[in-house]
Amino acid sequence: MGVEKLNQMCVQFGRPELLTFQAVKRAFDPAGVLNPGKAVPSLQRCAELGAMHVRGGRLPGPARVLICD
Amino acid sequence: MTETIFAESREHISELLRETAQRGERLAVTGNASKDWLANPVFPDRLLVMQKFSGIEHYEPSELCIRVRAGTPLRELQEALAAEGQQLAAEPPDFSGATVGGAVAAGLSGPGRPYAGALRDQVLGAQRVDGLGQPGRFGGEVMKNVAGYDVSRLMAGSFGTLGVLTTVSFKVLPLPECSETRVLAVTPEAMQAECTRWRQKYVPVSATCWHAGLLHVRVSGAEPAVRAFAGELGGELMPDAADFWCSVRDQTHEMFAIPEGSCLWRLAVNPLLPFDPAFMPKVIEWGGAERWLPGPSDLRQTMQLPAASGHLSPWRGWPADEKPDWLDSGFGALPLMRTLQRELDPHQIFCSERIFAEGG
Repeated sequence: MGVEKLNQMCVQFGRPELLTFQAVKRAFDPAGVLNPGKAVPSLQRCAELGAMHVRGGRLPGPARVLICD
Repeated sequence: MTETIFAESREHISELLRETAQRGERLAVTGNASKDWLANPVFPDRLLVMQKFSGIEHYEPSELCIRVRAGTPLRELQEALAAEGQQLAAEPPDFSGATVGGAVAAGLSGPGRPYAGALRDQVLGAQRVDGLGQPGRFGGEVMKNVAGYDVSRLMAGSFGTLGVLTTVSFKVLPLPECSETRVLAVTPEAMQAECTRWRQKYVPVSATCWHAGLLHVRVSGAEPAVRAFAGELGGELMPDAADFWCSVRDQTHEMFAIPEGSCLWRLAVNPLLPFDPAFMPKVIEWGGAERWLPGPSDLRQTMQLPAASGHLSPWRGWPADEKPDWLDSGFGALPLMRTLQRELDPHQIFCSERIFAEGG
């Protein structure tokens, strides 16, 4: 978690949740200097990932099972 | 004039919040108004009442987890849990018929808090509608949920300033097999020393409450452990102790009565903070960490707490327009809390004056 599973968060969470995480991050780190790009994916990253085809809860490539609650 | 609206569904709430933002109006959220007197008064254009958005959505006793809608009466949740021999171990106060959403939004825990954890720690997940009217799901139904930030626990104590809670999942615990309450005659200082000693050992203490020279100690757990430790404690066995602990939790016991001309202050402090003879609490809970002090309405001007030792909150007894600010202006986390509130409510539709002083 932090980097390796960042892409999964784009699927686990929608836009409102991701925007909320980013708002929390901004409150604690307004200058964005603390581990930028980690723990919470940017919407851009998710949009780029969104171009990938998701079928049956799996992304292309080996061992990338999505975790949904 | 405040317009009152009863929440019907998540979609209804979303629509309502979007509309409120568009109109540039402000909205307050309430469950059953059982804690209206708590924190600062608000003056919303619209009041969203969650009462009808009620019911248990999912309960799996073997998974130690329950998911309920925010408007569910706390009592209904507790009864459903008790029927399965379980409980919400933080014992949030019911006062005059609290709802689940209101209990989480106020973030209050009862007598069991230092021993079983705070209500906040028992929130596993939440669904919330944000200040833009967007519904979101945070956390889940298991303790280990590491993706993203703990937004569901952030809602505990947010008083409706960070969004509208619609559904909450809690971790629940088994009811203790056996419980008994012993009453010991001790001074506050001796109580502090005893409670410290108990914290250093593994003993089955599940609540403490000191008042008028008497320390009430609830001992809960497996029967042999309870009997052994209660025997070690000595003192008197208290009959009808369950009623007593409910009256402490809901502050209906006469020990919480406010003397004429005084106001009731709550001190949440380091349990080891020495007692100041000039400001002796009337009731002491949580092994010394929560102290109830009847005092003058401007106690903050005269009572100085050592730095980082805790805080003083105005509780009851003021006329609504004379109540001091809920949070002390010197409270260290205040600027961060403010920034966070503005980030999560960009159009400022929620009544943030509920916890933040006007213009602060």
